Amino acid sequence: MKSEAKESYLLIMPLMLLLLVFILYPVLANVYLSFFKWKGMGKATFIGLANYQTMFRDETFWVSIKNTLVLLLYIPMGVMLPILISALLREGLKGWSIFRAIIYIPNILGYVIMGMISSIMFRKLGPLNHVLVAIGLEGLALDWLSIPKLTLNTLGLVYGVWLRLGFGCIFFLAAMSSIDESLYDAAKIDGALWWRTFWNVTVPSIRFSIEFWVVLSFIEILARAFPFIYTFSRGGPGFATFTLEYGIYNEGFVAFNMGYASTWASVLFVICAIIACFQVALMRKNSDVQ
Amino acid sequence: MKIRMKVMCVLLLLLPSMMIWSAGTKESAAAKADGKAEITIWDFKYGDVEGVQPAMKKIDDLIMSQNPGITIKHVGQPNDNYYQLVRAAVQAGQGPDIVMFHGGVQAYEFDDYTIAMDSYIADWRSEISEFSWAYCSENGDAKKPVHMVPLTTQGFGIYYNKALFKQAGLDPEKAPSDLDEFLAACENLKKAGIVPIVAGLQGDPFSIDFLFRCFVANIYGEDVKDLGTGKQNFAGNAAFKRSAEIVKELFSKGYMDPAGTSTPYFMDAANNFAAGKGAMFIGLLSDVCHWKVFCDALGIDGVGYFPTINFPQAKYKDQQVGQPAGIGYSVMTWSKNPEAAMKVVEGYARGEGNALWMGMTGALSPNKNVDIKNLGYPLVAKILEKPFVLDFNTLLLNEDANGNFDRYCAQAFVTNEISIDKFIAVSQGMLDNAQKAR
Repeated sequence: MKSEAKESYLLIMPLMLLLLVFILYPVLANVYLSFFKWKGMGKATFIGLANYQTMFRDETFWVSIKNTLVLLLYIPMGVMLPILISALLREGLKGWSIFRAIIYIPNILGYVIMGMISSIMFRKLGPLNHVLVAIGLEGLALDWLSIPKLTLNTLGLVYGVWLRLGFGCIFFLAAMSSIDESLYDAAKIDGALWWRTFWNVTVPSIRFSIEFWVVLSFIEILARAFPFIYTFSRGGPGFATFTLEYGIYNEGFVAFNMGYASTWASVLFVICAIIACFQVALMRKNSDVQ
Repeated sequence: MKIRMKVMCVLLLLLPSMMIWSAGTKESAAAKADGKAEITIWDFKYGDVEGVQPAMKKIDDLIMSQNPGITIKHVGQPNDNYYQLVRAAVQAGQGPDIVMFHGGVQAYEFDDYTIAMDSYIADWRSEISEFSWAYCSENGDAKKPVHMVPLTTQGFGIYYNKALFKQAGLDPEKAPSDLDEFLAACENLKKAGIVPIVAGLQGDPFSIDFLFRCFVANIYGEDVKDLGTGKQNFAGNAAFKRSAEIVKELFSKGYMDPAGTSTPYFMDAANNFAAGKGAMFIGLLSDVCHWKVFCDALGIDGVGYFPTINFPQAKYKDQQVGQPAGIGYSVMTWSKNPEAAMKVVEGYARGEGNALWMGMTGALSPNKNVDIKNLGYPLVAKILEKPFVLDFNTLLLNEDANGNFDRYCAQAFVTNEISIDKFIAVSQGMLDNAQKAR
């Protein structure tokens, strides 16, 4: 082996070690633990596939899958909206810097604070309903947090779309800044209208950024929504916002059925892995085409 | 080359510094060398800096003055992930000498890691009822060793605001004695523009959960423990079904606070009642949301109390639901100073320390020698006159007792997703789970 290659391996070794200890080992340990009954302390008892059998019979598990899928449906909106806003802003807007600061606030505050704020905002007697009533929209002043479907969709809209809108706009604006202006000039000469230019110039030019944002969105909903849901609705009312990730927490750290929680976590891992493989394949295919 | 060298140097420096850091976290054993003992307590109540911490600081000082060889290090741990921290300590085989637990299943899970206390408590065992000691014994079995010293007894009941009762034309000195009177009182209050029942239903709908515990005490009485063995059930019990119908009626008639669906029980709903924003409140008897808090806010003679709503289908009347130990202290098996740790626990459970604990926090003590009536709250004497019936919730497994029942209550009464029959079926499922686990 060349000395340069040796040095390269040496330099990436710390990172590889970290990945091994903090990523690979927990994943393997989780799968291993899913075959045991373990209360989070003491001796674990091997029970084979019993946890998986229980899980597939568990109504709560299927509810959590359904809720997670509903939240995933908000990804297209969570991708398209920041792109559209960025495309409008790209052309210049008076007072953009103030607007940018406002829509970026959720990213600075973090999920726990935003969850708390949202939970207060959407209360029946909360500020949102007060505003709606004040402007004459009494019909829209709903009990957002105690109607199951409404709560789940509110969660999708707030967490899946609004919360990352600011960061999305900045991300896509940065991507759009690298688009060659001559493409827009050419489109203008050809008589293309705004919408046509958007679809045929802007979107294809930032395709890679969009794909990356889609991957991020899946991760955010599948594996990072817990702190927001915990502070926003605690998975309720009933099981209305009880997602797969929330179920892992509930089984692991409320009921302390660590083995069973690992079973749920293994399913989440498989779902994430399938989506990731599909997306990587898609991205590779697209880069080959390019 | 220079950059590579720098990276290597940083890595080499990082390794020993991490070793030094990890070594630094190990507790020093030096404290024991001179015959003195430092006792560490983990506690999920200590974080309440206004309500509980001042009392605990006073008690710690008292114990240390009574036992000059003991130093107490009281650590307030976060409530939300408290049991995760205790589990981490168990896995590590080291940690605090004394750990606070909730009574019941949450404590029983740690029986293998807490010491048997019988020999330490022998001299003063008679001060606390055997009802409480049995509950604090290994797996709740009175024949097995005691693993926790109870600091509080807990329970649930219905408080009412006498001034608002009067305002609605009701006799403030007479609590509703049965369902008809209760519903009539609610109707009068509603007509007078007063919220009949202040409710906390957002997230965990504890107002319904606690009301059911009160109902169940009247339905099963002393037989409630048979819900854990299968001799008694929710399914097929007409009175249990009726209790669910009553809760439904309270919602449909608008007696439950309409804003309750977006009001968390802790502490918003309790604060609303204390602020006079409604006439009745299904509250706790100890720790928080209790007689002392409400009497301090509404006047010592301004608060009334009744333990449950009597209704014809229930076998019993006026049963008061209770937990023989709301919270308590256990000594961990790894403690190097179990004798000293037990002295600290004893300091909290009896004598002057216990009186301080009760007087400052409003906790109900299971210690018979501490006279709570001296505190000057006639209401608490009234509460203690009534005998306690075991809370059915203590018979459930962790997942059911700490969440699932609340979710079923929300589905049946707040969101109307499931029928009463389904509610009974899923509630019965919780009992079945607990029986299977045994």
